[in-house]
Amino acid sequence: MSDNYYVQGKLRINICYNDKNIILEWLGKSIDRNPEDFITPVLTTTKSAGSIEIRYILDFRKLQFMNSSTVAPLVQFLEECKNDGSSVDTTV
Amino acid sequence: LNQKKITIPPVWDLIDTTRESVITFLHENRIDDDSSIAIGMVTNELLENAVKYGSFSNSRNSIDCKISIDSDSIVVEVINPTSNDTEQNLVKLDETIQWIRGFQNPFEAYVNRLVIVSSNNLHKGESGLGLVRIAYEGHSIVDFYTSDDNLYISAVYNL
Repeated sequence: MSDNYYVQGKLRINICYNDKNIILEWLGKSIDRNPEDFITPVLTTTKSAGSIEIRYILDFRKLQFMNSSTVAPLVQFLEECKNDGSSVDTTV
Repeated sequence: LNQKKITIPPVWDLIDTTRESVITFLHENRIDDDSSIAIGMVTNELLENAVKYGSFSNSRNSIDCKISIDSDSIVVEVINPTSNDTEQNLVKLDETIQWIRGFQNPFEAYVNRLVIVSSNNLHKGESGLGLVRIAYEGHSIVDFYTSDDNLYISAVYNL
């Protein structure tokens, strides 16, 4: 059960919050021509809702496919987290 | 040798359908899951590039995708129209392939590209990761040539 979710085309991102974690569950396929138009605002909004102590968990187990353009906003999110000291785990 | 040819118009939404058709074809030919998924991804990336960078007109408005399976390799070939207007794209394609070949292995190229991507200074929709991903995740060797105003780009996956 997610607290919030975002849908664009065949991609859905569920967001679940608890005291220690923000879990971003990816479902479906990320196959848009410019996936960053959808993904970057979702990640930015989610990150602005979390404190520095929060751990982000990117759960890709239900993601069937992503194109290479999807990698860029993800890598940029990871880089931001690294720079500000946020903790990130990924599950594939 | 077993072959399949799929012809599609340059419509973004048809890329994923084609990727799935290719995976189904590979499964029908008893290609294992890991290889089929890898080659499906390779097909997807090549078709995305064809739609993005091809030179289409009313009379030349299609992309051919050919999959050939033999005893020791699978070849994905994508053919799309080009023109003088898109010559710069071919130069960039050649440079990218040469850049990948300059690394000892595809993983190094992939990591290097991720570092560039993480710097966040890219043009929209141009991560430049597609060909590197084909080489690393897709375990495939990419090459291309042009003939009769068409680009023929192929990726060879060794079984």
